[in-house]
Amino acid sequence: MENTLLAIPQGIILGGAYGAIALGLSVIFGVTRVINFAQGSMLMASCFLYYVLYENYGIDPYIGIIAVAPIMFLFGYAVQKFLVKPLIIRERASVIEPTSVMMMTIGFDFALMYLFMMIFGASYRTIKTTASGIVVKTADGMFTTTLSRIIALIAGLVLAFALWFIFNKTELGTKIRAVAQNRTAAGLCGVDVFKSYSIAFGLGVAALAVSGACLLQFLYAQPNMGTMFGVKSFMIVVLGGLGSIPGALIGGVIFGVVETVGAQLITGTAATMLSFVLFIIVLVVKPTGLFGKK
Amino acid sequence: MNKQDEKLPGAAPVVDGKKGFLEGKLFLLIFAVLFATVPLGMSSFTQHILVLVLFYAFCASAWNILCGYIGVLSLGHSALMGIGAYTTTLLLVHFGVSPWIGMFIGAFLTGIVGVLIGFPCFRMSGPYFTLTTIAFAELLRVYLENTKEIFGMSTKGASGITVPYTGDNVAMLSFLGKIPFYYLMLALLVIILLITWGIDRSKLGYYFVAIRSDADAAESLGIKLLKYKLIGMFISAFFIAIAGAFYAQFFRYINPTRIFGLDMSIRIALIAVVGGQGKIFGPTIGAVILIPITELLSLYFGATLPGLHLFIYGVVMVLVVLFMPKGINDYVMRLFSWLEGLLFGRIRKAKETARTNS
Amino acid sequence: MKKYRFKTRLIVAFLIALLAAVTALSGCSGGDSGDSGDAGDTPAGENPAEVELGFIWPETGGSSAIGLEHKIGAQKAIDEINANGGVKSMGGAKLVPVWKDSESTADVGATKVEELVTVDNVPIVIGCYNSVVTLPAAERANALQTPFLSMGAVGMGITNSGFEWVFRINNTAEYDVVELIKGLQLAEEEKGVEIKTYAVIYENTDWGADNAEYFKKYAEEEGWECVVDEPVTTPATDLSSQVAKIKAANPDVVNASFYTNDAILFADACFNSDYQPPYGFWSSGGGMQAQDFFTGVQDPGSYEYMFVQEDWGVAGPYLYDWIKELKDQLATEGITLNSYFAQGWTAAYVAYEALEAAGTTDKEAIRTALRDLDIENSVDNPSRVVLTGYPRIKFDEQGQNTYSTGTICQYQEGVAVGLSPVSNRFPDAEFIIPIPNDFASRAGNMVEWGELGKWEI
Repeated sequence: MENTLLAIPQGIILGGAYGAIALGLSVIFGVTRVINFAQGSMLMASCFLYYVLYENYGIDPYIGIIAVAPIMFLFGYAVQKFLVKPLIIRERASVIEPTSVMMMTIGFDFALMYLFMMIFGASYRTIKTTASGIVVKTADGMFTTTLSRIIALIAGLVLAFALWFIFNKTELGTKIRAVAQNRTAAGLCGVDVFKSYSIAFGLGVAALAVSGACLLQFLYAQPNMGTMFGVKSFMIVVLGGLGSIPGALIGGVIFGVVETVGAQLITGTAATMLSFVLFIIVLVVKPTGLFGKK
Repeated sequence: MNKQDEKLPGAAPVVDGKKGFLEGKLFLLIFAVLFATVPLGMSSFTQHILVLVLFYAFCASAWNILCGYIGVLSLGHSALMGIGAYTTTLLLVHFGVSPWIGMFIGAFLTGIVGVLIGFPCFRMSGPYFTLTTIAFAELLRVYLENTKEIFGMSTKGASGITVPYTGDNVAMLSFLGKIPFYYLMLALLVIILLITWGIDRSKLGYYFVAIRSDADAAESLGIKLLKYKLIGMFISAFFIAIAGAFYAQFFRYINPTRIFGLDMSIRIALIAVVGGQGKIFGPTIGAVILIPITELLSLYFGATLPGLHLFIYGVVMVLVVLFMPKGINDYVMRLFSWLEGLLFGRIRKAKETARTNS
Repeated sequence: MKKYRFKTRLIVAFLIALLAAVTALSGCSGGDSGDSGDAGDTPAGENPAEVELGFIWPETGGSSAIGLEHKIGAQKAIDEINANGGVKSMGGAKLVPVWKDSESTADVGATKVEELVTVDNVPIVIGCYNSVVTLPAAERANALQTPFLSMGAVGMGITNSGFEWVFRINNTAEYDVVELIKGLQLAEEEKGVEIKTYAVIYENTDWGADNAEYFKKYAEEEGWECVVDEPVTTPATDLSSQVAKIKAANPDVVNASFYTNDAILFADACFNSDYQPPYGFWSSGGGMQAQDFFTGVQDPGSYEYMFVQEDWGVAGPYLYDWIKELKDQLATEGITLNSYFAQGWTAAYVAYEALEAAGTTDKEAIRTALRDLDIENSVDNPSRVVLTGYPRIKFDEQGQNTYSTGTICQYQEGVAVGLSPVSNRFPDAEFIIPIPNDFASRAGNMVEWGELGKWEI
C-alpha cells in the first residue's frame, strides 16, 4: 500500500514531463485548430539538437535552450506559414476534405523522423550531465528520483506559466486569443490572422524544445522516440482539453499517476491498455475533455 | 472538335452521331490486359512486389469506401485488418477451417466490430474521430501483444502466429509460388473496384459524397448521417478484413506489432490520399506508383541510408496534400483522356478524309 | 493563373509516374546493379571465381548495434578465409558477402530472403539475430529450398516447425534459460545460499515473453516462488514504478529481459533506488550485453554484479591462444571481441565449411554437407570455426546444434567474468553472492568498458 502511495509523487513527476510535452500540442490546437501530428518528431528533432550541442561543444541542454528554443520557434513558424497556411486557405475556400492538414502533418512527421534516421542512424544516444546523475531521495530511501526529472516537472510548470502569461497578459497574446475565438472578426479588427497563427505554432514548438532539453537528461535521443510521446500527448491533451494550458498539465499529471499507480496494482502493460480505454471513453463521452474549448 | 476531348474522362466525343466503342475505355482495357499478364515470366521477387502493389491497392480501396467517399479520416484500419487476419488464422490453426471460409467469418465479424465502434464514434468531429481510431488500433495491438490466448485458443502474444505451410493446396489457400496469390488478389481488386464503381454511381454514393461535402447541409436534407456512415464502415471493414486474411496466407506469419500497427494504417491512408480519395481508381493508382518506389528504394538504399524509403513516403505525402489534394487520380485521368483524344482524333480525321475522298 | 498551376501539377504528377516507371523497370531487369551479379550454380566442370553468401542482420532498428557487431564478425571471418585461399574445393573461390538489413522488423527479413535468393542468387542465407525476424525469414528460405543458417535467434519455432532447410547454430531460448538456472544452482552450491523467491520483468516482445515463460517454468521445477511477473510495454519512458514494485516484493533473484534502450532505463532506475536483489539480476542478455548499454547507463555501477548469459565461451581468450591473438588484433582496430562478433564469425565459418565439403554451390549438396557437418573443438584441438567456444557443432534431425553452449558471467569490477559452466570459467574466478551493498563506491573500482583490469592476459 505504501508503495502505491509513493507511486503518486512518481506519477506526478512523470506526468509533469508528459504535460510539458503536451503543452505545445494544446497551444497549437487551441489557436489554429490544427492537430499537429508531427509533435513527436519535432520533440525528437530538438532532442537531437541538444545532443549534438552537448557532444560536440559540451553545452548543457538547459543552456542549450537559449539557442534551440528560438530555432524551433522559427521552425514551427515556418511550418505553419508554408505548409499549414495554404491548406487552411484552401479549406476555407472549397469543399475539400477538412482532413488535409492532419494528413500533411502525418506525412511531415514521417519525413522528419526518417530524415533524422538517415542522418543519425538508429542507435540510442544518451548524455551524462550533472543533473542527470544527481539522485534525489527521501531520508528513509523509500522514494527516489533523479534531479533531471524534477527539473522537468518544474520546467513544465514554468512553461505553462510563461505561455499563460504570454496569452493573457501581453498584447500579442490578446491578438492570438482573439484570432482563436473568431478568426473572421479578429481579422476585421485589423489583426494579422495568419501571423498570429504562425506565432502560436512557433510557441508550441518552442515549448516542445524546452521539454526536449529536460527529456534528454533522463531518457535518450533516437529517431523513433517521438512516436510514443506523440500518441501519449494526444491522449493527455484530449483528457485535459484541447486548447487548455492548465488542462495539458493536469492531463499529463493524471496520465502519469495512472501509469505509475497502475503499474503497482496491475502490470505495466495492463495499465497502458487501461489508459487507452480511458482515452476512448473520454473521447466518446466528453471530447472536449476537462477544461477544453470546442 | 478538340474542345470536346477536354471533357471528363469517360465522356466520348460524339461525331456524326456515332460514339466510338473504345472511347473512354481504351486505357481501361490496356491496363486490364497489362495487369492480367504482367506477372508471367517475371522473377519471383518482382512477382512479390506486384502482389504487394495489388494488396495495398485493395486495402486502400477498402479504406477509400469509408474515408474517401464519406470523408472521415480513419487511422485505425490496421486494427480491422488485424481482426480479419487473426480470426482466419486462429480458425485455421486451431480448428482446421479453410481460410476461404475463415475469411468470410472474419470479414463479417470485423464488419460488425466496425459498426460497433462506429456507433459511438461517428458523432465526433473529424480530428477526434481520427484520434479514436488510432487509440482503438493501439489498444488492440497492446492487448494482443500481451495476451497468450483468447477463448482458449493460443495466440502467442507478441511472438505472433506462423501459418502452417501446406505447399500447393487450393482448398487451404496455400500456394507454392506467387502467381496464384497474384491472380487471387487481382480478382479481389476487381471485385472491390466494381463495388466502388457501383457505389460511385448509385444513390448511396451520392449520399456519401453529400456527407463529405457538407454534413450539416446533408443532414438538413434528411440524410441520416449515422446510418450511411455505418454502411460505409461495414463495407470497408468487411473488405479490409479479407485483406487481413490474405496477408496471413501470403506472408504466412502475423504478429500484433505489424498488423495492428500505426505504420500500416498510415500507409494505407497515404496510398489512398496520394492516389486520390473518393475516386474509383485513385487508391489503385496510388499503390501502383508508391509501392514499387518504396520497395525498390529499400532494396537499393536500405543498407546505406536507413529509412530513406519511409522518408520519401513522408515527403510525397506532404507534397501531394499541398499541391494535389485530390490526389494524382484526376491528372492521370486527364492524361489518359487527352491521349485518347489525340489517338481517336487522328483516326476520325483519317476516316473523314477517306470518306470525303471516296 | 489557374491554368498555369494545373500544368505544373500535371508535370509533377507525370514526373512521379516516370520515376516509378524507371525504378520499376530497372528493378525488373534482373536487379543486379549494386551487388555483384555473378553467383548461381556453377557450370559443369568449372569453378566460380567467387561464391556469394547472403547475410541478413538488423543494421537499423532496435537491434542495430547488435546486428552491426554480427556483421563485422562475419566480415572478418570471410577476410581470413579468403586470405587462406578461399574455398579450396572450388578452386580457391573467394567468398563475397551480400549484406541485407532486416530493419529489426519481421516481414522485412522475409522479403530480404526473397531478394537474396531470387535476385542475388545466393546459395546460402545466414541471419538474422532477432527471433521475430528469423522465423518468417527461415520459413521463406525453406519454401525457396535454400539452406538457411540461423544465428543469434533463440525462438523455438525456428527448429521445431519442420523446416528441412534450416539449421540453427546457437542456443534456443529454452536452453538459454536452462543455463541460467544451472548457473543459479551452481551459485547456490558454491556459496551455500538458498533461493526461495524470484521476480521476472521483461519487455512484452516475443523474446522477452518467451524468456519469462521458460524461466518461470524451470524456476517452478526448482520450487522457487514467483513474487512479481511484470511485462513492460516497449519502448518505456520510465521504469521506476516497476522497480519499486519489485523492491517491495523483495525477491531473492530478478530475471530481466530487455533490449538496449529499456535495459538502460531499468538499470538506471534500480541504481537510483539503491535496489538490488540479494542474489542478483540474472539475464539471458539481449540489451544487457550491447555496448550502447554500458556507455548509456548513468553510472557504470548500475551493471556491476549483474549476471548475464553470454552466447559464447567468454573464457575463450584465456583458454585458447588463437582467440587471444585474435582479440588483441581486433583491439588494435578498435573492435571488441564479444558474443555478437563471435556469432557472426562462426556463422560465416560454418557456411564456409559447408561449401568446402560440398564443393559446389548446388543447394542440395550444401544442405547435405550441413547435415553431415561435425566440427569438434577443444583446448587440445581447437577449431577456428568455433570462436563461440562450443565443444562441437553438429545439427540434429531438426536442424538444431545440440552442442551449443553459452557462459553465465558476472560483471566484476566492470568485467564480464565467466563462471558457469565450470569449463568456461575464468581462472580463479568466483561468484560474488550475496551482492555487496556498495552502490556509492562501485564506479570507482570498475574499469572502463572493454578493458580487462585484473583479468588482463
